[in-house]
Amino acid sequence: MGESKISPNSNIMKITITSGKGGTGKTFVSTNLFKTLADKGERVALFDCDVEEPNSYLFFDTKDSIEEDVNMPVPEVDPPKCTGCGICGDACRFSAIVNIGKITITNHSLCHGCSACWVLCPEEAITPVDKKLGCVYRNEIDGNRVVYGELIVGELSGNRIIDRVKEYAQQDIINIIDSPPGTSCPVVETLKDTDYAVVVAEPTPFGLANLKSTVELVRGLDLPLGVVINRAGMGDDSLIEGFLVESKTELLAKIPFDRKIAELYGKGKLIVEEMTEYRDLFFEIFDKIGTGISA
Amino acid sequence: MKQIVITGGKGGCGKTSVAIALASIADNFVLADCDVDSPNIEIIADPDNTKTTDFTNEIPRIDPDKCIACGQCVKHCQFDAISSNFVIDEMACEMCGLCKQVCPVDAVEFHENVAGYIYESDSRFGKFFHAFLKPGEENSGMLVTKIRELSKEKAIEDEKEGVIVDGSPGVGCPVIASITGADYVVAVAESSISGLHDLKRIVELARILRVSIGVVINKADISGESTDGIQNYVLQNDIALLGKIPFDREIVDAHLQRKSIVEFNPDSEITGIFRDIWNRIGVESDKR
Repeated sequence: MGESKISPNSNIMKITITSGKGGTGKTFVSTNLFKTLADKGERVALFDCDVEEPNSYLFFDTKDSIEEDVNMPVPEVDPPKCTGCGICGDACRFSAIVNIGKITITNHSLCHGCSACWVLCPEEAITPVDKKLGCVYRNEIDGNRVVYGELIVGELSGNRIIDRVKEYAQQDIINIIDSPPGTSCPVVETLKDTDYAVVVAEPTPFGLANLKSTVELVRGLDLPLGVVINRAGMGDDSLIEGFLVESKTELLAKIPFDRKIAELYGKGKLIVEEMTEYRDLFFEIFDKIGTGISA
Repeated sequence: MKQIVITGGKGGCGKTSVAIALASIADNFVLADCDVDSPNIEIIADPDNTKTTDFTNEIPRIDPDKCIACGQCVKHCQFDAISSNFVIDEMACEMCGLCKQVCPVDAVEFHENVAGYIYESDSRFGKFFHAFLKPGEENSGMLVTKIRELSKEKAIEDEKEGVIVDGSPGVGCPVIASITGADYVVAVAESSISGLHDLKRIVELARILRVSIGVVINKADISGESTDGIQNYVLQNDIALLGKIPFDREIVDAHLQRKSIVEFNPDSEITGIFRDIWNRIGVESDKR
């Protein structure tokens, strides 16, 4: 596993839709791009890696999902074997296992599954047991794969679920990945091994600030990227356009602010089905991504 | 002293718009931005920074002069964070320290790393705490906890009524850190099927953490069906509906001028709704 930074399947094409700010329209772009390409007869799959708040499946009929648990190993102490030496408690940097006198207590909600306690225990008194973190759900929508993960509420990190969702990406097809918002660990996990990042931004002062951090993150990962301005005309488009020129970042498309789009989206409808004039716009985004990847 | 946290599960549901509107109304509160991924209040608040504190963590490095390439660290790392040539990928590393424990020649050393900054500032909204976390850094939950501690201490020191905390989207570690031990959670729900889905998750989280919660429906007139769905859910689960905010471009216009809607148009209908919401929050948060 030492070569972890190089994907074993690096010939799999992955396009990740991300943003610094939440609610800019990642899921909106992902689902409509998926549907546009599927309707054009392209082989395409959709992966929702926003496992804290997965929303993309709400736009498709996913009642026949195949469900699969995602687990993490956590420690279980065998009290008769434990001598209370305190090595596990000293080693754990997350306070997930503590020693009080001769008693060793675990707190699985703080555990990261790092294995330090059971690897270091000299008495073999600790064994790993599975703890469920969430699920991955697989569906076929008109012959195309739609996969999403969901973290159990109360769990700290969905990174293991994100990895599992991404394992279902396939060769020789277009894999569209819907990312969580922000610039912290779940986003980095989602962007890993991606070929192209589509950053969705809204034309507001908040949108600009968060776009800047995302562009910095994506450039730091050496990925080609392009920007979609969503709800264009709602605020001040020049805020975003100025930054794109200055930072030499490609503008993929502008999706106008239109109350009708918001209303349809609010009901769980895809605009490329309801307002077919938008299909060309999504196809154009895809063409530009293709050029960006081969450049 | 009470801590009121504005959150909402879904990104872009209007947490920050609500937080700054309420902060403009609230007289005697400290403001804290705990959305460390997208710290947006500072864009509106134009803060005058009075104190900066480093936010540090400890990251491991392998000393190539000491390393004997035995491979123990690579074998044991659960996060695939160590390459075959023994370099630690800081983005993948969860800082568990097992590599240091299993290294037979003590080649792994922990170094202090500045992962971000916490700022204490003066602003139009009063004392304001905010932060910057470098992209890709771990421990956003820890940073949130630090901001909350500092803002609470300040509120007590200055004899304020409490702290208004702006949280981050999702239900993961930064959100858990924002809500744990808070006095009242205000969940902002956008009127859409995604909004209802994500609201249910944040309500569940508040239940697990035993914090009382009330709901504000934002952009309430965008989808009548979704707004009805949210209202039914709130009613059935005995949750306080704090108010309904219609979609209004004036809020965006206010932000373009770096103002909250309350500052931008103090006499507008929307400002009136926010005043009612703030009063309801006062009543509901005292009920506990």
